[in-house]
Amino acid sequence: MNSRKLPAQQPLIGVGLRHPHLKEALDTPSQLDFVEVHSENYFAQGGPLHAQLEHIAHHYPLSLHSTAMGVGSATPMHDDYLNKLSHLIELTNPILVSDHAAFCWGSINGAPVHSGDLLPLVYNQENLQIMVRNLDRIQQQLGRAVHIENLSTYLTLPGSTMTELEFLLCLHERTQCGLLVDLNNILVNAFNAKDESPLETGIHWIKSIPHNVIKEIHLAGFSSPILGNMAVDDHACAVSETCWSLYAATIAHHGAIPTLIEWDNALPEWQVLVNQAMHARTIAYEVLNHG
Amino acid sequence: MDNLNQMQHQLLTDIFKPQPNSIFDANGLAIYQANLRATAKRALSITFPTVNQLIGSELLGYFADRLLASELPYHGDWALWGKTLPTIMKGHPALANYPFVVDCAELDYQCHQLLRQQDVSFIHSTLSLLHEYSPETLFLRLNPTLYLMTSEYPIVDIRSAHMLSSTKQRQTALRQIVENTQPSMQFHVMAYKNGRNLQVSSISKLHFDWLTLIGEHSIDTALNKISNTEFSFQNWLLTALQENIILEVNHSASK
Repeated sequence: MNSRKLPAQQPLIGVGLRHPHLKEALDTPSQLDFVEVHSENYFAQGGPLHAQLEHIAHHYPLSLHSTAMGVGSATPMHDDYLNKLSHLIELTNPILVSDHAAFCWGSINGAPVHSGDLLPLVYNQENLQIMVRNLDRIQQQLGRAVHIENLSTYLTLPGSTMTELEFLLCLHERTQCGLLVDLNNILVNAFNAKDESPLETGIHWIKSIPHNVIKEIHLAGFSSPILGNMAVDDHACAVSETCWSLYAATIAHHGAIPTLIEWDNALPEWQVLVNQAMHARTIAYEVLNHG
Repeated sequence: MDNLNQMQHQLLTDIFKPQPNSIFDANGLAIYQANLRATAKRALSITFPTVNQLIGSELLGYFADRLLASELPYHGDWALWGKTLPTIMKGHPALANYPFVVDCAELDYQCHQLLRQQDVSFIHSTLSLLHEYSPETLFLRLNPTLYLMTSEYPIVDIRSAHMLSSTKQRQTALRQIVENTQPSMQFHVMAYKNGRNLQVSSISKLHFDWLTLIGEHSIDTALNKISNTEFSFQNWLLTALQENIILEVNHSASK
């Protein structure tokens, strides 16, 4: 396992690693401190994917980011899913484990279904209680903290009695989970809410979080929506200037926090992705050392 | 918790089975519906690479939509979704001139699933049983990933052709395969994991029959049932051990 020594006050900087970049990530030396993979992509019990994962974990500290736990589901997740995730964690000993404040599990006409997408929660006590129950079960079985990410949402379910951030902070208080703050998701939601100043909204959002609660930051970009349409969090382009500004404000307020560049669709060259990570490192260095 | 349960149930229903007069915002709902269709199509293109090449993205998207209506994903892992795609494709007018696609889909799905299974290799310590007991009491446990199928089409060749890198190469290879295929032919296929890797090959009817028999009977019974006198157990055993087709030798007392 890689054990890079870092200068003081520098966050770990990583990228989301997808299959097309695997060879270069393994063959090309880079300044990355960790890589993050989607857990479900490695749920196979054997085969080439397992071998790949072993290589990745040998080269880089690994973060496991799940997209299908559905921690806010009223229907409990399948044991089978949790067993696979537990096995993956045993296999790779990741530095971070995370998923989203979303629901995925349910049924349609009595038949079990998984949404295959991150569906929005109702921000009220009822959903909070479910999320606490599910997260307690997950953290107990996995034997470690799971960080929970704020969500890009495209519709609002009726019945919310608090904001998303209030909901997440209550969840943190009751489960001791860390927050994975996706700065791009804050901006996508602000854009879709026709917020006139997404950056200011984002900074207010970030400053409302107590220190030491944020355990990871995600940075990403979203494609320009067709006029009048909603923005979709497609992770298909470089981190936007607004997102970089929000990142600088976040690091300035909260200090060094592990930071990840997410780019999942229309993948660029590996070096472009690495350069984005290096840009994050530069911003963090400037902010933390020169104010 | 019934209210929340009902709300989540309703949103899932409206995403998977779009209907007029949803209680949810139409624009937002449309994004989740589009995401679902795109993810389902992408999942099928990974699980069914040969089919994807054969029928193209647009038709695959059509079948992804049909599959979503009949086979709900429920594992939280898209790699496990799509088992009934061959059934949906069977007899569909869009594939009338390409009947081999259905069998290609079956082979694609099985290959994808068995590649994900646990890596296994022959348990060498059981080999000595072959010298200690008579064949009446000995069984061969085949590689648990071993999958056998029969098709009227040369689906192994079609699968191989679609791994060629250029479109022109693929089309030329496919045309030659179709030209060389006679009506009423039968092709036997063996697929399994050798270590971490997938092995897919055409095998003779004799080999197919033998694998079926040895999977069910003692060595002695299987040899008695195989009518072909050209079959050499010794030669097959040597190859099967080298190629990881056998998992272990069992004595009847321990089977």
